[in-house]
Amino acid sequence: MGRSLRNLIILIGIFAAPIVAQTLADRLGVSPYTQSMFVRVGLNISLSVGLCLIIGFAGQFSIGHASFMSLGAFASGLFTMYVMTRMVTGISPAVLEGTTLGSIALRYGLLMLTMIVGMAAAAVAAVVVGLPALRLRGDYLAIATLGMGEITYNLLTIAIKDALGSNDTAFYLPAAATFMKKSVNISSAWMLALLAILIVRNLVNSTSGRALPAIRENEIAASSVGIHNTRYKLIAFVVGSLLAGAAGVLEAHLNLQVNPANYRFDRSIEMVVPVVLGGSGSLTGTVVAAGLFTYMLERLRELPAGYQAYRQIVYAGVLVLFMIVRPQGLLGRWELSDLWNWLSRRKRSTAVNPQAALAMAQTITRPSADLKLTCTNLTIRFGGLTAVNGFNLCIGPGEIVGLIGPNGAGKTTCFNMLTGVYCPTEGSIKLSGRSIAGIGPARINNLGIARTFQNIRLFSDLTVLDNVRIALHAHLKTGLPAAILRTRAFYAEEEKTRAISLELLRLFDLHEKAYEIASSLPYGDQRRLEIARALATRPRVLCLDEPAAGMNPAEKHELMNLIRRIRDQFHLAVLLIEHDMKVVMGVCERIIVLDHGETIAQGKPEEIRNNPKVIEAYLGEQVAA
Amino acid sequence: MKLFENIITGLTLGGVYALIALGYSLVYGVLRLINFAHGDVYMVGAVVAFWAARWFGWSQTADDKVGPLVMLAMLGVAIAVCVCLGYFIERFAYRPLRKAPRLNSLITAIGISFLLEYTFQLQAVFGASPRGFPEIRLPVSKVTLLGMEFRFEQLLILGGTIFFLALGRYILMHTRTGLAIRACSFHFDNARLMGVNVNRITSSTFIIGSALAAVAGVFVGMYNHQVDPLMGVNAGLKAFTAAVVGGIGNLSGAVLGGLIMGLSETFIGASPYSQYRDAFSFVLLIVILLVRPGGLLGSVAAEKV
Repeated sequence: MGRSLRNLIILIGIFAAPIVAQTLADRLGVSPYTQSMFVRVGLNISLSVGLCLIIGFAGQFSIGHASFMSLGAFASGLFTMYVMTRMVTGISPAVLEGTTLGSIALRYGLLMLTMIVGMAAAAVAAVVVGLPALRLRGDYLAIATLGMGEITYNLLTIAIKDALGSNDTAFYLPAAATFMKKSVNISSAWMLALLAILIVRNLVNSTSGRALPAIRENEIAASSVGIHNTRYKLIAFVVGSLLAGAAGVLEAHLNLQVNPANYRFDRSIEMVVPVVLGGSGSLTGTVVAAGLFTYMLERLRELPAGYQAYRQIVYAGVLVLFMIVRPQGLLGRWELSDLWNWLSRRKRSTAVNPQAALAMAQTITRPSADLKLTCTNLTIRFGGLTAVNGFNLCIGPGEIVGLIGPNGAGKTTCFNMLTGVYCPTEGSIKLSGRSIAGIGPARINNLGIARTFQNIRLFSDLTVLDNVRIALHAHLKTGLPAAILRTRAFYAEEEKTRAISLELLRLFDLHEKAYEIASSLPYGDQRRLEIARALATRPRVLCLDEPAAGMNPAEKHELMNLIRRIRDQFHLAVLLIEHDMKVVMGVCERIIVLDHGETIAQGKPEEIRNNPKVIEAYLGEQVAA
Repeated sequence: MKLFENIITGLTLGGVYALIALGYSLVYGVLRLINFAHGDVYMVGAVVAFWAARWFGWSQTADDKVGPLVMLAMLGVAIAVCVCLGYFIERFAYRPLRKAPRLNSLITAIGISFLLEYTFQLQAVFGASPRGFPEIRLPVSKVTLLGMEFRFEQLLILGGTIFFLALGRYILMHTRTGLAIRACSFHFDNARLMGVNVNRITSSTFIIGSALAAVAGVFVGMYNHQVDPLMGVNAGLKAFTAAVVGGIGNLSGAVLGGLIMGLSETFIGASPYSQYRDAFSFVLLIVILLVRPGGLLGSVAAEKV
């Protein structure tokens, strides 16, 4: 109850506070110039918060985001010019520009309408551009968005010149729409800013939303725990573009003109700068930096005319110096909520909850009577090299099968085919009769195959708890909308997810370290955390790639017990790649031996131990005495 | 014969793009950094040559032409200054950030670019508006080739571009420094382990790139008879696009990309669709990125799982 009430108060505050601020500003006679400065601060905060979601949390570089502003501005400008002015023809200017509650409500209503148009345009563009472009990584995405910005500018100027017959690059809203300027003020700009902050905060503080930092940390690991990367990237991209579109609409009606030249590269960079200055991945930092930065730039406008040119130099100089002196940004990954937690000394409980243990066991175990993973004649070639040739496998629940062979034998390549990282050249992979070859890692994981990696791939910068929690996301019933709205079901599920994750960590003896950063764990713990994370995806087949690597003998012994225990408790099929023969022979019921991509032997551990072909593969041919 | 004229113009423009693109490509290859300030180093090259001309006694009028030797001296001064500039940018802005997140270096590069652009726009430095660039005094001003008349200057620029591109290629493929640069682009940390002084090599990369950018700046000044403090923005963007289209990090790719950009721009510029020229270049960029993410001649190393 307390939580719902708090959320209600926050929501009311988001709408009330800007209105109060506007009223106060008017009553106290704050100059229009100062007011417009605060409008700009509000707009820039919403822009940077949107980009913080894309760059800071999802880790996707977009440096052409101002183009979504210009599209929003352009579409809403057209709407205002051709539709809205006609809608209001019968209404007298006294009403449109009046200060009565009715007039204000009418203006806000019209602003909402034109904002919907602008945001829709931005969102459509974001989907069209994002769907192909988000497949690109890192710098290449940055380059593509940069190109997109230039294309938008070029096409919009042509449209404005040719279609609208303007004789410069801008088009101007008609006199009949001047009244709209009155509705773009501190209250509307800050409502947008506060809403943006709330939406992004709610998004990233949820189990589904944590998929975004997971993608930022490690795309391959993210897809291996069932996250559909492109879908999430696109969501972040569209949310960011919606906010940019909305800000574009407000700016167009504030200036009563749409000028694509204002939304080019330098503007896009102006939007990115607060994200980097504030600390990439810190929402608080982004808001603070956007506020301070815009304020600084606006105040520099007051320099005497002769010094105006120095304004931009100061901006660029501060930027470069700041990057060199404090590359992690103002606040790093720090958030305001960290301060709150510290002040309230809130104990991060890792206490046992008897129900949670049961819930965990029930959640992780999937009923799988008919489960069978079968590979027939699995073959993959890279150019002329046949990495794996005619690999066959049949494994069911409760079995532990070992996959061994010298380095470069094709063991991990087999895992990569089973988990969808590679698509086999020939052969079939069937899970319970359903063909899964080449359907992609995320879908394969959703169907019940989970894996760990030879070279550990954790979400290094996230906590131990988050690593496991994220992996539970594919089976959640509440999604991102519920996370934004903070529904009752969302809280219930969030609570449950947390309890299950802690319980799972307890199984691996990691629960005491639940709030530590994953990369700070010792090597053996990281290996076990990866297994815990894989288990959280509710697998029916668990593929472990050299889980004992880097462990000491005691840890290895513990690991063997652990593998058996999770097999029994969750009724799993376990496929194990391992070089340590003690582990393999001790834990596997069946072993398959690969060499140069060929299966050279399979059978019970004792058969393999004495197989001359296997000995030859490992130790070389016996020299005749 | 308009076709032939367009080809020569396109080749000239493309050659200049290639000279600049090489710098983007080299730096990206070694540091995986998009050096946004590179376009502005090119602008500085042109401006410095303009200053040098004044210093050598050019009267800043269109009628006053400078001799070929003066032009060569201008080129030399421009190269010297840009080499220092490139070296200092790398040493003091990028090197401290080598281990920082990629976005930081990107933003720093953009910051340096803005810093150069705004500084040169100051009236005390160069001023915001374009200024004239001296013409070169030549024995003949027009040449007839295949029935077409060309400015001799243009052919000189084309020849010079080919010379400097070849020189760049020679340095990269046939000298020890070039070998070390290629090693660093292949694997920065491994090159270090093999005893390559990576700091020195990174500096060399910026030095070579900046020298070529300076050459491009002087050539464009000669071609257009003017210099402009913002000339680096568009040219930089186009050259960078060229580098990506050809395959960033790949040297032949930079030249191929430059030529594609130069020729397509010239031909579209001469067609009825001339206003779509910029959009076309960037659509081409995005299409190539989507179809061949590593560019025409480049390759993207798949992440090993």
